[in-house]
Amino acid sequence: MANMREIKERISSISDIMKITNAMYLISSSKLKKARTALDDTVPYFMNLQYTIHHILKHTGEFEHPFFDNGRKKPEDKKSYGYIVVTGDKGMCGAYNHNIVKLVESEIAKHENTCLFAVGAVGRVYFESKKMNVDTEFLYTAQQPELYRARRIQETVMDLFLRGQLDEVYAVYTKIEKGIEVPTLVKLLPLEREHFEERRIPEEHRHSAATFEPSPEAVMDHLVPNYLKGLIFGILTESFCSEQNARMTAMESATNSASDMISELTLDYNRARQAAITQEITEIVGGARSLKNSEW
Amino acid sequence: MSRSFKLDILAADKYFFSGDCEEIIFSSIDGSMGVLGGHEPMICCLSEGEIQFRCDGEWRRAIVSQGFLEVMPNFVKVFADSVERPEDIDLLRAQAAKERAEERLRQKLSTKQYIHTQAALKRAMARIKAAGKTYN
Repeated sequence: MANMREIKERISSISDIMKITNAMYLISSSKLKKARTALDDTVPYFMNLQYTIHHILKHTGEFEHPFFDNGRKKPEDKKSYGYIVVTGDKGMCGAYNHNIVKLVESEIAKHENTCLFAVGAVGRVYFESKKMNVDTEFLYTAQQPELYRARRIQETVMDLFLRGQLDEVYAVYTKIEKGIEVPTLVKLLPLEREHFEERRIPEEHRHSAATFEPSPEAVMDHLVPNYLKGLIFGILTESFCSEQNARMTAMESATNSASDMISELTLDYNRARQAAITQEITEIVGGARSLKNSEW
Repeated sequence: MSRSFKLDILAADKYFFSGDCEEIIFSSIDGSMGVLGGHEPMICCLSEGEIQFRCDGEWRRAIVSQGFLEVMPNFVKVFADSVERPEDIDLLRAQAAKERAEERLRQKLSTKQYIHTQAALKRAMARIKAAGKTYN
């Protein structure tokens, strides 16, 4: 019976795929463990950095600095927006990449001039195929976030910003909130005082204005790139962690549904086998009887 | 007796130190500076090099890369890309990095590359200097 052979083939192909998904599950869960520890190590730096910058800004008067230059008195259609988009390097991770792409598309639709800086192959390939303005020299992988990579990204973006080729810079990445991946958009440049005000922690007994050594401008020149680098590093780490988490969940459910399918198919296979045996017996019995009848 | 203050040293990938400290010496972008407890509030840039801090009368050292400090009368926070203990430094690796950086500096570089290489050279030198002290 052909049906039986077909079912058997399907079972074996599904169990092969299940081996793959199971292996990917194991790999991503071990990678996730590593990424989690990396993330946990970065979080204090990240939180303190944001808090300190906010604190510093609160204790200094208004001063002019290109990084705070929100004015850029340009009409909306002349402004150019840069987006750092963090996706994975491959698929197989559920809606992880898709969510980011969707968020980016909805953001891009709001502005006229946009430029994308894609981290991770999936996003880059997608946006290139859609003929969007993707910086082709901006080639970074999303694997293994490293500080020097964050520094390069920061330098590229900041350079474009200071030369006036970008007026606003955002980052689109995925963060983990209570175990769920949430696609997020953050503004990197220009810095906004109000943006830092939001992070106010009820610890208002802090005092007097701080002095800057050697000068506020010089300190800001150093501090802001450092801050951004830290921020980008945090973004990369968190995205990597989310990606592994997403892949782990996706692969786990794939493995589960594969084993469900196998058990269903095994049932079908056994039924078919039973049917085949029954039929054979019927045929033999029928044949034997007709033989008997003719002997008589 | 000098007043103590709370010192936090944060690297991008780890929480290096947190605790009470009496004095800290570091190199800022225009020279070496020292901070005692009760210092006036100050924001300062940190350049590659060594920082020394005294806890309970005992001096400790750490090698830092670029970053910045937030000084307040009762606490100091140090932010740097990387912070290492002198014991952890691989002298051979630092030496190799130094040679590599020097080699690169001899070529014609773009401004960005030049800055990168110089920073790498400074880091390597700071490491070698600090590691040398431990072995002597």
